[in-house]
Amino acid sequence: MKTAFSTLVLVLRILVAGVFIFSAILKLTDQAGFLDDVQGFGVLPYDQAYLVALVLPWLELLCGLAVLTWRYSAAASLLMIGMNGGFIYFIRHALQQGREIDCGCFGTWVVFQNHDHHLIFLWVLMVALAMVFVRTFMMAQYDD
Amino acid sequence: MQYEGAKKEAVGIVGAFTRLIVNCIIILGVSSALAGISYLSMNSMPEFADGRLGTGEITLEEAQAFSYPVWIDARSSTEYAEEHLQGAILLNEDAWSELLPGFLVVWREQDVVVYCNSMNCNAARAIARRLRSELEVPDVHVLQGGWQTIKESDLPLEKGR
Repeated sequence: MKTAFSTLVLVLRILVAGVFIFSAILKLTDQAGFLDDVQGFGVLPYDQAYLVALVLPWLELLCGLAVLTWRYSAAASLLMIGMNGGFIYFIRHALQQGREIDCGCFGTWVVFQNHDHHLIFLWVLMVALAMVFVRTFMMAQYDD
Repeated sequence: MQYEGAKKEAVGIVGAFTRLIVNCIIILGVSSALAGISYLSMNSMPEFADGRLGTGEITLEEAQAFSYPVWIDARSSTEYAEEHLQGAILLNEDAWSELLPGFLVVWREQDVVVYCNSMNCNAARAIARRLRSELEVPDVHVLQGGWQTIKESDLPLEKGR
């Protein structure tokens, strides 16, 4: 049972790493476009939107790589949970305001049929990240 | 024995939390450093000031104060054909190359105001950003509220292409 769970978490680490690295690369190839997307949420003033558009892609890339390592996996998954939670919040906030938004998460490579599908994807991702975090954090307690 | 075991476990948990926080800070720090380096060396982001001056939103009253501005409709050609602001030029990313000459014919370095079809859609910002970066049009503005604001105003509208 324990081995099966460990194997599952390993697979999940690879999958979430792939999602975040892919998303980061798409954003880094068009950061100006991502800035437009962040402003489109209508939540952050321009200064903060600029900072998010500048730093977030690099954070995604680094977390995607770090989650594959043993030492930084727990920290990376925790930060990914934070980012994912932010995406969910901003999308729901924008939808409640009736805004047409494109979160810019995957550019035109992955297009969700509607925002509900997008949110479902993000919630599934959240569950996967939670499992990774719990497992890697539990194992970290036994590191000296 | 049990006390020693519990103490050891507590120390392990505290240590794990400490390592977690430290590693989070390391990841955040390295990300910020990479972002700073890329901003300084790669020009991957538009200039910070451009967003404040050029692609910031303006109200309809502010737009009407400009002297003979060029109005750009950044919506789809179908929406444009259904109805648009009288005199507005269609220019969207779907047919940028084909529609751009129509803008260049009328633009004489006056202010440009771009609108799209909802409260806060990205199309107008994208068009404004491209006009600034590719054509060096200095005075480009995005209309706050977009098409909705125009519909609610008393500005003349027209149909067709």
